[in-house]
Amino acid sequence: MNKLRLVFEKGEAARYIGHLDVMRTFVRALRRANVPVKYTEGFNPHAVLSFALPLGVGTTSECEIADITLKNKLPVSEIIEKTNLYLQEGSIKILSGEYTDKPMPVIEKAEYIIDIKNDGLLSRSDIENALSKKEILIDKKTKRQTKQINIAEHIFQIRILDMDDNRLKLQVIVSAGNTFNIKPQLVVSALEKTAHSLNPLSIAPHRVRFIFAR
Amino acid sequence: MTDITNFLDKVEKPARYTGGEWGIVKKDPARVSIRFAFCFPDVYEVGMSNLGLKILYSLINNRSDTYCERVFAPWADMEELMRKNAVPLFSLETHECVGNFDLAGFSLQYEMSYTNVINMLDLAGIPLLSKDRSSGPFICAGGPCAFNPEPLADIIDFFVIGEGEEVINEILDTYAEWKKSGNARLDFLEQIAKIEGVYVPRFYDVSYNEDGTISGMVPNNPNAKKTIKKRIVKDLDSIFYPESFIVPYIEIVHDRIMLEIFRGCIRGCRFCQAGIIYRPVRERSRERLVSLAKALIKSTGYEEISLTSLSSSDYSMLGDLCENLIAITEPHNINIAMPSLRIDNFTLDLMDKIQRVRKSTLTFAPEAGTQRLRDVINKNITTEDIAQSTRQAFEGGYSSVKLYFMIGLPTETEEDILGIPNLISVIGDQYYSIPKEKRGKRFTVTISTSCFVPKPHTPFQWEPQDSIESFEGKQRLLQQAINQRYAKYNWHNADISYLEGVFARGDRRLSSVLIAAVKKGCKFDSWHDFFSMEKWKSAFDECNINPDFYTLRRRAYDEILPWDHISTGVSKKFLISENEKAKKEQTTPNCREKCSGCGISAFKGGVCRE
Repeated sequence: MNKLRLVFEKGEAARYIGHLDVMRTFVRALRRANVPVKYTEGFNPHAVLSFALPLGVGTTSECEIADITLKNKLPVSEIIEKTNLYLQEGSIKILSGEYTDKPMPVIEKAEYIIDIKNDGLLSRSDIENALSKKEILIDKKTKRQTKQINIAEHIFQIRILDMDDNRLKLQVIVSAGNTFNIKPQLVVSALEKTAHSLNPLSIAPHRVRFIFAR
Repeated sequence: MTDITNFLDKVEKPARYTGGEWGIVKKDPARVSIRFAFCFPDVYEVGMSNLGLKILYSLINNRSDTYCERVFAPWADMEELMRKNAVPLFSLETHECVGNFDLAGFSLQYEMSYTNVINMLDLAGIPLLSKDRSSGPFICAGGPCAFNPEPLADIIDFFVIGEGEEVINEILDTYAEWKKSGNARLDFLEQIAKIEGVYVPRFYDVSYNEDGTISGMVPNNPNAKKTIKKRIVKDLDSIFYPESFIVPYIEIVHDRIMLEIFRGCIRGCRFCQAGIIYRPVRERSRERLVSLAKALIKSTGYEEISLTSLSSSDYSMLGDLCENLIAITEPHNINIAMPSLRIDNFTLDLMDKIQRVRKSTLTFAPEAGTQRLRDVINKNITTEDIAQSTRQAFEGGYSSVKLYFMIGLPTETEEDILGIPNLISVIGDQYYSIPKEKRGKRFTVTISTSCFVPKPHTPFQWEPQDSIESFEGKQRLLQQAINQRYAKYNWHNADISYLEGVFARGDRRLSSVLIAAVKKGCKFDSWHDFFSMEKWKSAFDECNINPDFYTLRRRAYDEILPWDHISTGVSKKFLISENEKAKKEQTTPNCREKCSGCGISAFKGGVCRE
């Protein structure tokens, strides 16, 4: 198999593009770089490409995983170097890669750093109180329905990394994966419910790492 | 520089506003002497699909003294945040306020975007009327609607008539000289008024008769020309065409490589403005197209390439061109798309060859339901053509057909309207005459009718437009008459077509109506989200203008039309003779069959020299 597993980052310049946009950008960059990507057979051939987990609009990352299949094996370093030349600086950048036969690993949790700009003064005790809640009910939208969940059950770690009067930096580990996924923005909405001093002007989450199922 | 980061979480499709795409031009603004804002009065996804933008963006940025940046109309959610936080309209490249540019150039592709032009100026904090601007950027405009610039005459400082890539460098050279000179603003306008194809509306005085028609239009400045002749590119092979495009992150309307194979159209449909203003037909050579295709595939990474023109089948070596292109596209899994094809045996075979993706829908534009009315409009397509080609298509596996018609064409009767359902039945008969096992499933015919808008510079420029009531009556008639179970009928909003009619043939008294409408909140009028006929009606009332004057009236051949000082190169004599032939239901041969002496041969280019 010529399956190449790539780890890439989605930078600040690409923060506001969605998952499908990232996929399109990837395929086009590979074509610009003349990387011999394998295409599916059939009426509507498309590049053989799959992603570990979609990353939403508004979130950056340094740990995204994509598998591409090549027509012929080229040295990994050559592919990374060439492709990165054809991606706008600060948007998407391939960090590393390896040929593999293993299936895409199953993701269980993800760690985020969330940078929040706040409207008004933040109160530390207010935020700390919100972080310690054992139950925060919140509406979670899925494709079919909106369901009420206790988000606290899906937050495995949450702490203040840094804060001043109107800036708050949180580190969280939450449930993630293709079956059940908590977006970092949802964690902030949940905190807003109890922390009255929290009125975000902007929320800038960054995915740091995945935690895989064993 | 503006900061919009706090808004981006709160708006739909934030990537409309962030820029930074593959292929953008980066320059240090401090190191250029001219900053040009290319303004497209619609959302990003529409504006980024415009070929003119792609061409001019690259061409202007080829100048080391100029930085051309893009500006689009923010959608209502973004506009609200910008107004609330006093953030002015900005460019995507450097997020600079439009008010700080040297020139802002608007692309006028459709009349219903005029309110957006004004709203964008307002958002930029730029005075709306040309006469009120004593500093800040010069506001210019071009594109097909500039061929009747009058409704925007009080707003725009100068218009460029014709093909922008031919004249933009002369304008920028003049600007560079003027900027160095330190002379008054008026001096720059006087300098460019001398350039062929440039129109400065304030240098003309218009007077009116008692009945509201124009009694005279005379230059009031020695630099102003009596007639402004359009500029055209004589040779498409030697003129600039970009070898790289910006590749947006988000999906845009035409998200593919656009390869312009020729300009103009030999056909001469009498309702069609593009057919007149882009005359004469000029082709790009196969060699040049192949080399451009290679470069664009390499630079963009796009998965599709579209051959664009007004009528692709009229490219003289289409089969050969496609063969050459397939040789480049196939190894890269790139699809070739060919819109604007006349469907016949040749093109059906060709489509089989080029389209790796099986397209299931065929599109025809008969425009009118009967042969009589098609002769009136000089649309050279017969019922037999449609029957024969749909049959061949159905045999080849196609099972759905789209048909485009116009209602309200000159001389139209109920019989012509009812010709539309008849034509649908002809297509139905073709489908059902093929044995079940040999035809595709899910047979559908989709019919769309638009409301005819008489356009300036066409043979129908003197014709009255149908009233809204008449359009709606015809739409109801069709809703009843189209009863085939495989047929689906869509129709256009008659209110919007009526307003389009007003501004298409309007004069400069309408500038005040546009401003009044914007103040009432009219914007994105071609999007149904915001369209409000009530607001428009009260804007006309406020300005004491009866819009029916512009649409319902038949104009006499000797009336001075608001756009008479703008010349497309096609003579009025020819337009009159075409209008008369239309009344007699006589057709005119296409430019390759026989020259009909429209006057364009004076440009000495393209098909006129073949």
